[in-house]
Parts: sequence; structure tokens; C-alpha cells
Amino acid sequence: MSEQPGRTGAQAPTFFTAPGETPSLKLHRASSVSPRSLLVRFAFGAATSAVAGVISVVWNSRVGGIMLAFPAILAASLTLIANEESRRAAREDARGAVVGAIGLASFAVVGYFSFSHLDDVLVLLLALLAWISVSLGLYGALWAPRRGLFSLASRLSAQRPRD
Amino acid sequence: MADVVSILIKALAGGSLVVVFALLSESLAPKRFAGLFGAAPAVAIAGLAVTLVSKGVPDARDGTLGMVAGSAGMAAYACATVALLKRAPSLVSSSTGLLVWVAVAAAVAVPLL
Repeated sequence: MSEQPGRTGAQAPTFFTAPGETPSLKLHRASSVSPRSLLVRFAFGAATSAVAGVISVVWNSRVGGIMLAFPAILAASLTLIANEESRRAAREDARGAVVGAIGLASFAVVGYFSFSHLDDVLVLLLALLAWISVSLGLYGALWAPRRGLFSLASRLSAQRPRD
Repeated sequence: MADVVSILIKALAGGSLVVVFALLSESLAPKRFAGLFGAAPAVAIAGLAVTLVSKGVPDARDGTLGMVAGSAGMAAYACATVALLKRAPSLVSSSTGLLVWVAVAAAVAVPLL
């Protein structure tokens, strides 16, 4: 997942380098999303859910469950981001999704071991909490500014005296 | 008929939740952080919620087992598209990446399920 340096000579981002920007939430950005892109995303999500449902009926719920982790959001987003912004931005989005996918697995594991023992709604909430915790925790452990594993590695590498 | 209704409800709910998480993702920076929400359990929550109501807990539990295989595929898909986007247009990269998802999800699903 490495890339060549950009024209300015600055090192292109890789999975092993931290973004260097503190995560932020700015809700006003959502207002700039075009209705077309929302429709595309809705269609991807609806189609994926429908296919998962059909497979569950025709085959069984275990096989249908595979589709519950189909990259519906990601596939639509990467295409839209690459077209509307840049492929570099799309690659960054995909790198984050690798960590999100690990969180998604934890959602599934929590659900699998909690159903039949706890209330249904509580299980879904716990599973969602697991996804949030694992995804955010892993993101912070790897890429948090100054403290993340790859942030520290970059700083140490920059401080190392050159021969 | 009941199956058709539940599939329709799953589709509507899944599509709506995907839009919600996509809007949240668009509000976040940097892009790598926003990417976490590209793997949000939107379809899963919708699918499992409807399954719990229509089929019950055993089916929902079985669905989560299949989801583990799908999640492995999702991680592989994300890795593959990072590499593919350096070389190919977005639509080609995204579509080819889906083949990676199928291959990895199937490879994990066979022993798991």
C-alpha cells in the first residue's frame, strides 16, 4: 500500500503513516452531499439488503449473513469520492475502512455470542458499541496524532540521524 | 408473501441506514477517519432487526456467523481497492475489488459455516 512521493516531494500517505490530522466532525459538510450520490448509496444499500434477504430465504441465514458484511457503503463511496474528489482521497477512505471492517467482525462476534442470552435490542446495541469501540480504538492506536503507533514511528524515523 | 414483505422492509431499512452512515462519513475528517464508517454495520443492523422480528433469534444468530466471513472479505476488499485505485479508474477498481470480497468471504465461509 505504499505510494510514490507527490510533486512537492512530500511523502504520499500509506497505511503505515498517520494522517497527521485530528479527527473532527463538521455536520455542515453533510449539506453539500448531492441528492444523486445519496440516491446511489440508498440503491446500493437497498440492493444489498434485498439480496441478503433473498439468499436467506432461498438458501439459509448463515449464507445470507455473509451479505450483511457486503461493502455496500464502501463501494459506492469510493467511486463517488474518486470521481468528485480524487483517487488519493478514495484510497485514504479505503485505508480507514480496513480498520472499520475489523470492527465489523467484532460486531458479528458479539452478536453471535450474545443472541439467545440477552434481549434482542440490547444485543444489537452491544454489537454496535463493539463496532464503534474496536474501530475507533484501533484507529487511535494506529494513527492518533503524536500517540498512534505509526505516528510515533514516523517521528522516530524523522529524528534518526542520517549518515 | 411474508418473505417478500420482509425482504422489502430489509431493503428500505438497509438503504436508509446506508444513507445515514454515509452522511455521517461525509461530515468527518480526515478521509481515513471517515473511512471507518464505510464499513459501518448499516445493512447488518437492518437485516438482523427484521430477521429478529420475522424469523427469530436462531436465524439472526446464524446471520452473524456468516457476517464474520463477510467482514474478512470487507477488509480484503478495502486493501485491494487501495492498490487498485493507484492503477485503474474508480469504477474498475471498485468492481474488481468486489471479486476479492467474494473470494475471501467464500474462503472464510467454507470452513466456518
